[in-house]
Order: sequence, then structure tokens, then C-alpha cells
Amino acid sequence: MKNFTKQNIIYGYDGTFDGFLCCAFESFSRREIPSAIISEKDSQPGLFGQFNIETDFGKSERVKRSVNEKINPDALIFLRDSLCTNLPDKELVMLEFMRLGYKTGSKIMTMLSDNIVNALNKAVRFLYNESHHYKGFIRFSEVDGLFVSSIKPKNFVLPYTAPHFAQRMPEEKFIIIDETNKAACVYEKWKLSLFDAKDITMPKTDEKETFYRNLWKTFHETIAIKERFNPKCQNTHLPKRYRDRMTEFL
Amino acid sequence: MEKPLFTDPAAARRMTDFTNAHNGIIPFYNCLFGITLVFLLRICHTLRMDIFEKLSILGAAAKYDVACTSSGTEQNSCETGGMGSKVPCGICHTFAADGRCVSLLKVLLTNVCVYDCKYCFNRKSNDIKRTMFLPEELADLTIQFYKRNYIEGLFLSSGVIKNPDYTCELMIKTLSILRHTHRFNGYIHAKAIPGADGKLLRQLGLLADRMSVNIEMPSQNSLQLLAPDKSKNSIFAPMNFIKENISENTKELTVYKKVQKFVPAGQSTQMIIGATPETDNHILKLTENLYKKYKLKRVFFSAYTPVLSDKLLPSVDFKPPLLREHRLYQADWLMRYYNFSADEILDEKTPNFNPFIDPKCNWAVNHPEFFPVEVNKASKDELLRVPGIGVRSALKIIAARRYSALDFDALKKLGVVLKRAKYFIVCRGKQFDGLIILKDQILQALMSKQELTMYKDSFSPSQLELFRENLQTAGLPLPGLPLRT
Ligand code: SF4
Repeated sequence: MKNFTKQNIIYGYDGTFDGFLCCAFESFSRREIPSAIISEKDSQPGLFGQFNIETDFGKSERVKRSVNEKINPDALIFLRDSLCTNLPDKELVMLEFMRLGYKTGSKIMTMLSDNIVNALNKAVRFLYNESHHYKGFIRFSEVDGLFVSSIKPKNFVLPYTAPHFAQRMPEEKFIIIDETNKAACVYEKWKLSLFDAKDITMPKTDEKETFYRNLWKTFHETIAIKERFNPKCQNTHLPKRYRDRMTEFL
Repeated sequence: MEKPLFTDPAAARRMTDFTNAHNGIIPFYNCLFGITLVFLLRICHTLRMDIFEKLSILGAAAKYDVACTSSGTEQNSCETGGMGSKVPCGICHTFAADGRCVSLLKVLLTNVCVYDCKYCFNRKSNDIKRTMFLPEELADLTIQFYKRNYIEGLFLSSGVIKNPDYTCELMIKTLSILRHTHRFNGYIHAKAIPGADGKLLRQLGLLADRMSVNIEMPSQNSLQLLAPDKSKNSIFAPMNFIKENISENTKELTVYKKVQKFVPAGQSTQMIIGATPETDNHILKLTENLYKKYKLKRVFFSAYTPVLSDKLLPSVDFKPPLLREHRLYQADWLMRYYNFSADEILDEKTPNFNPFIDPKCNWAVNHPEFFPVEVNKASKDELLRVPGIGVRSALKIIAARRYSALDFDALKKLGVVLKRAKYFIVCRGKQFDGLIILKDQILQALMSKQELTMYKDSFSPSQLELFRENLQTAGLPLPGLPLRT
């Protein structure tokens, strides 16, 4: 089989997982390694040497099937999750992971001492951790029966956090706005949907909302035991970057 | 303050009846006190004490109760409707300035109490402002906080108002408003009130996810001394009752699917550390016993924080023994997840924890025959005995070594921290490069930064020399130093 060669070419894609798989399809059929893979969101139009890859579900299905069969189903989930991380050049690393995976087969998932696997694994752990943090640290405000929240995460956590809230309050309506990734998750009546969102301004809070916010602040202040005062411990568990949106620290 | 005595003779009679019935002959001033409390409560209601004030009083009164995990059950509202889910791993919603995780709205229903436990801020002889949540009020507050994602649920405890049964009924009312009116499926932890009727406890248990009875003091003597109104029986009886109901319920559940679950997340307890003279060994043995005999899910320790002065208690400027509490949690962890028994951690010869190194390291330095452990061959249990290797690292090692034999570099990549572990392991028969095994050095490597400064500070330079020499000759275990933090 012909070896992969590095090419001075940039792939552009739509930022979705299927889009990425189509890039992989292209890279494997041409046996080339692109110098970069850029999602639509971050790319400047008309970048020289950019090759835009259309998302074709037929192709992405084929890649999914082959990863499932030749590597293993966990690897597919692992790739999907990797795409939501903030690892620099994650797409290239993911391609490398796939090339390695086709060589080693299913045991790649346990090869944690390999650099590529390790880098992706760390990034995915970070994504999971952050998603878990947000399950607790997100704050909703009630505006006319709608629960609104905005976050500024490092990874793309919405797909991992939002379903939790759909289970938590299935009979309410809510929206979570992700400022980093310019996206919003809307939930209403057993349906969760993801939108692109730019420049959403948060609605004003009314009296009732302020009342409960103040109550919560009061509670948060009273429960600290002053003999055990330990801001360092507080900071490790609750990094400062979360606090600018948390009611009790405002 | 005297007036209400005569305005409501019926209440006065009820109160006297109750106190007589429950406590036998009671000095007259006690009754007076009870009546004054009832009166105070009336005032609160008529004046409608501001909910902010109620929340600060009743939140502050509950804050010493440490159990604040919301883990143990899994459920969501998609099938049942209503609101609320439970996540098995628990979620922290914020952290207080003391670094503790906040996941539940932890409050007392009321800080009125007819008991007089010496260590408790709410004891009846303490002259403080008293108040009470109305069941509807508290249920509403919980729901509003829950929807805004401030909390995972409610932790409800209470002082004993009028009598244990009455208190328990109020708690039941609050929980049933939450569960039935608001259709709340989130996490609820309820304190069982010692001395309440079995039927009521059962009702409470059917509404709560977890129940706990505080054992309060690590021994019967201390309990009698400091909590004269509670007897060992009034604590262990409900504990046993809950255990029996859980196992009964599990049997029922296997037969009928639709049976309501009785405290699905199990029960826990808490005891106060440092107010009384029990040794760490004693406490640990008791803990092990509680896990075995009463099938508790968790035992919590709470370093005594002086809130009152009493000749039976440490002085008011006593510092809470946080390090000791920390060591107890470490040991508890070893028993629950690392297959250690209480006997392995402490014994009569060394009845107290070593302040300078944690219990696991302490065990390791005392069992040189067990080491070094070959990372590529050791079983999970063996790996877990290595200082610095936790459950997650052990699992990673086991997964990764299937693919290729591991060396120290590979361990680093896996994220295994070698600072401590390197002294106790070999990789493919090889030791860590450049490893110098000096006992003193190992000992220092085993200490955290904090422990190290403490260790250095606690001796003058010449003492330190002497101490080192002693260590070198006598082997590693540090002499049982007094536990002061
Ligand atoms: S029964 Fe509870 S609230 Fe009442 S004094 Fe004792 S510990 Fe405090």
C-alpha cells in the first residue's frame, strides 16, 4: 500500500463530525496528510490553497462503518468527543489517531502511553471534566417562564451538558447560550436543539428573579464555617473563570 | 416573656404533659423554657420573620452537618414527569469560602429545640433567636433554587420542636409537599429524629433518598455526658430500624416492581471529633463496625468547632482538629475503596494517626516486606497498596500493560504521579533511575508540602537531628506524637 505523504494543502469543512469524517475519507483515499484542517467557523474565506470539502453523509457513513469494524466502536465515540475539545489542531491529531488505529486495530484504545492517544485522551478528559463542572455551575435565570443561562467554556460542552438539564426539568423551557462557540441549546417539550447563535443579549431580570438570587447569596455566605476558611481549596475546586456567571459571586 | 404562660393555658398543659411523659420528672424551669419556646415561635409566625433572616439562621444552624453528597441513586423525570433528576456521581453546585462542596440546600426546619445537647448551638439553654420554616415556604424555596440550578436537592434536619413525633410530622409534611405537590424527584436527605415513632420514620424514609441518624459522639460515655437527652438506644434503634426497612424493601422490590423505594440511597451518620477523649483507633473501629453492622453508606466526621463554652467541652479558643478529621477521612477511604481493615491502619500500640504522613504511606513504610511491587505483574489490590497509586491510576496501569510492558516513562505518560510511588515499585525488575533510598528522604517525599513544613517547624534543628537519627535506627514509624493542629 502506498505511504501517506504530507501535502501543502488545507482542508476546509463545516465543523460537524460528519464533515470531519469526509475530510478523513478524502485524506485516506488520496493517501495524503493535509497541512491543516479548518472548520468554517474559524476560517477566513478565500484562504490560499484551501480545499473545501463538502459534507456527504454517504461518505461519512462509510468511514463510521469502517472505524467501527476495523478499529472499534469506542474509537468512533472517542473521535466524536475529540472534535468537541479545544486541543489545537485536533483534526490533524485525530487523523493521525485513525491512521494508527487502522494499523493496530481495537487495542489502540488501551495504548495510553502512545503520544497521540495520550494527547487526545487528555483533551477528552478535560472536555468531560468541564462538562461535568458545568452541570453544577450553570446558573439559570427565570424570565417569563423561560430559564436562561449563558456560559463561556473552553471546550464545546453543550452536547454533553444540555441533555442533563433536559432530564432535570423536562417540563420547563430553557436555553443555554455558549459564547465561546457561538452556539445555543434550546429545550422545549421533550425536544433539545442546537443553534448557531451570535450576539445574544441576556434579558433583564425582574424582581422575583432578584429576590431568589439574593436569597441564594445569603445562603452561600452563611454556610461557610469561618474557622475553616480556606480560599485556596475553594479555588482549586471552583476555578475563578467560572465565577463571573455564578449568582453567588456576582 | 412571662406573659404567654397565662394566655394559653392549653398549650402550657400540653407542654407539661409532653415533657412529663417523655422525660419523666423534669425540673419546673425546663417546662417554663419549653413554653417560652412555643411563645417565641408564635412571635415568629405573627411577625412573619423575613425569609432572608430565617434562611440565614436556619442555614447557619445546619452548616456543621457535614453530609452533603447527593450521590447514590439514579433517576430522571422523563418517565415519571414532574421535575428533578438524580445523578449517581453527585454534583457540586458551588463551593463555600471554606472550600466545601455545596450540593444541597442544607437547613434546619427549625432551630427550636427541647433538648440540651452540650455541644450544640441550638440547645435549649442557649439564648438565641429562634425561628422555623413553614413547610410550604421551604418546599417553595427548594423548588426555586432547584430550577435555577443552585442545588441538587434538599438536606433537611431539625431541632426537636415540642417532641420527636411532632417534629417528624412537620418534616414529612414538607417532603410530601415537595414530592407530591411539586412532583419533585430530586435528591432529599432527611435526618431521622431520634425517638420518633417507627411509623413516622417509615413515612419519612419513603419520601427521602437518604436518611441519617447522627451517632454524634464516638462513645456511649461521651454521649451521655454531652447529650443527656439522647441515649445510645435512641440513636441505634432508628439506625437499625432504617437498616431493617431497607433490606425488607429490597426483598419487596424483587417481588413487586411497583413498590415505593425506602431510602434508596441508604443511610449515613456523623460524629463529632475532638470534643471528647476517644482515640483514632477507637473511632476507626467504630466506623468499620457501622459499615458492617448497620450497612451504612457513609460515615462522616466533623471536627469539633467550639460554639459554646461549657466545662465539659474544650475551651472556646480550641481550634477544630482539621488534620485529624482529614486523616479519618483518608482512613475511611482506605477501608471503603482500598480493602484495608481498621486493624491494618491503627492498633492499640499506635492508637492515633501519624500527623506527618497519611495512613496509606504509614502502612507502606511499616510493611517493607510487601514492596517493591512489580507494576507489570501486580494485581489491582497490590497496586492499590502503593503510596501515590489510586484507583484510577491502578486501572490505567492494568489497561495499558496489556498492550506493552510499562517502564517509568510510560507511567508518567499515563499520568501516574511518581513522587511517592517510585520508592515502592519496580518496572520490569528495574528501579527508578538514580533512586537513593535513604529513609529520611523517603519519609520527606511521602509528605505533602504542608506536612513537610509542619514537620520541620515542630522541631528545633538539634531536635530534628536527633529525631532523624532515631528514625534511622528505629525504623520508620514515627512515635505517637500528640495530635494537635
Ligand atoms: S437534639 Fe439536635 S438540635 Fe437539639 S440540642 Fe441536641 S443536637 Fe442540638
